[in-house]
Amino acid sequence: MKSLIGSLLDSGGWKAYESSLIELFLDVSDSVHNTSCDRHDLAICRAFEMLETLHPARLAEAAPFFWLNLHRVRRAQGTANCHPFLRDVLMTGFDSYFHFLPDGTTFELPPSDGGALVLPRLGIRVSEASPSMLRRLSSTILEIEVDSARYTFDLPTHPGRAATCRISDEPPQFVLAVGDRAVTTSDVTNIVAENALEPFSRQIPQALALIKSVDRQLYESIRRTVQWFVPLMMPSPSVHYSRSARDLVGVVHLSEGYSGVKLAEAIVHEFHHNELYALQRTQNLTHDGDRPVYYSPWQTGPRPISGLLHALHAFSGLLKFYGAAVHTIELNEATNAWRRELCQKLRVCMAQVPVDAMTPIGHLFLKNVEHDVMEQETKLGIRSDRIPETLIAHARQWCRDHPACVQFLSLSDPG
Amino acid sequence: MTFVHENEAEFEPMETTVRAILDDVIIQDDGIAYVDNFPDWVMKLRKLPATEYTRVFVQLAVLAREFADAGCKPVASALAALARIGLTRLVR
Repeated sequence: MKSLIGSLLDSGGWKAYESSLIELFLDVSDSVHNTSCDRHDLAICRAFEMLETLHPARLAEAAPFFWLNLHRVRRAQGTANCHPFLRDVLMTGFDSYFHFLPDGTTFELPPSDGGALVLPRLGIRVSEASPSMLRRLSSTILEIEVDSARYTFDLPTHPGRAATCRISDEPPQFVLAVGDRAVTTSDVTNIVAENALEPFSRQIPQALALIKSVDRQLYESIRRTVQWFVPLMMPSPSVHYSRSARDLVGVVHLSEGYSGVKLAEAIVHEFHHNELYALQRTQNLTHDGDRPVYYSPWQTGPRPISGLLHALHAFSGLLKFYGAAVHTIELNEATNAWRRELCQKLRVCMAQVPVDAMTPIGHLFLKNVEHDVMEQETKLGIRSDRIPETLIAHARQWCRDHPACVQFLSLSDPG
Repeated sequence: MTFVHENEAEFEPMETTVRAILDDVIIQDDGIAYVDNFPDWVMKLRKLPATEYTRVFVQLAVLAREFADAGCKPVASALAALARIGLTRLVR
């Protein structure tokens, strides 16, 4: 079933999100044109002028990595840190719009500080090369220049395509196993499981098929929102970790140890983060800002309201997924115990949100989570009106560790 | 059709293009707000000669401010981006 956030996105939230991407491009483009002074800057200007010839609706279709790098440029504007990110913008922009740019389009790249050639949509990665120029010769042939030497890539056949695996079409979804600054946030760049492309490309479609068998509408929403799956390596296969990033809507990172229903669960969880990030890009759910002072039953440190809202959305989404899964999958007692615990944690988490700080959309969101939890409690035949001892002990420890935040804790029994 | 600045008792006719953009401002009952057809407006405004249509861009900037003051960030941000299309060309 579709979440409230999914419905809000469909009713106009996605349009607003796409507008925000175009605004971001226009903003960085203005800044590039206003600050160009040396030869590299002029080359960047020329590349932006090429991108400006595209219809803005087409611009909004770029891969998430292009937007990640534009965000970085905007944050670094006016500092010396800007150039490497501009290089990544041009590289990921060239990759995103390759099929829409005319033959002969040339992007001259600023000098690199070691970044590789990564073109995720075209599926090319050359670690050893740091090209100074990218040129489209035809719809299937790309030319790059490295140290004054020129190389051509025949796109359909080049072995560099092993960097990416397309796992479905319309809309396309990919597995990307590249740990490079241009396509990752800094916290995961060094832990991308580059050798996991093949197994991950088999497992992800299986997990998506499982999600489809449980909840077709959820599956359709995931297909539309998440286009990229990135495997992460952990110290051991039993260590599970998944990650989404605010500036990378459309990309989920999952540790390679996931499989079967746990992989499906991780995809559902990360999808909900992506959905909320997309809505939050333009719509405020709270007036509270980013003060990290609130208690979350899933964390040891204080969280901002936004963190609480993400936890509520992702875990209530999971709860609903498992609620629907009982018709398709035989859930063991441990999973059902975990569902009951989830209801209790969600109730405690809801109690931490300062209702006065919520916008109308935020109020709607909270009401919806409350409704979802209540529905699942009914299905489970429970009432989460007592806070379990383990959760109280967790909160007590949190109070000892963060005394300045105790005033924000709300731990009266909801019943 | 008139255009009223909040702090001044001045009336200025609202430019047709600005009126049309304002007609595309959507504020839904559920709280979602945005400027509809935003990519098309970007295209249309890029084609306008900035020096001939100065008032269009100035009015968009003033409207952006008014939406921002009213707490409607998504619309304010979109209108400001549309205004900048002309304003940056005027000063370049």
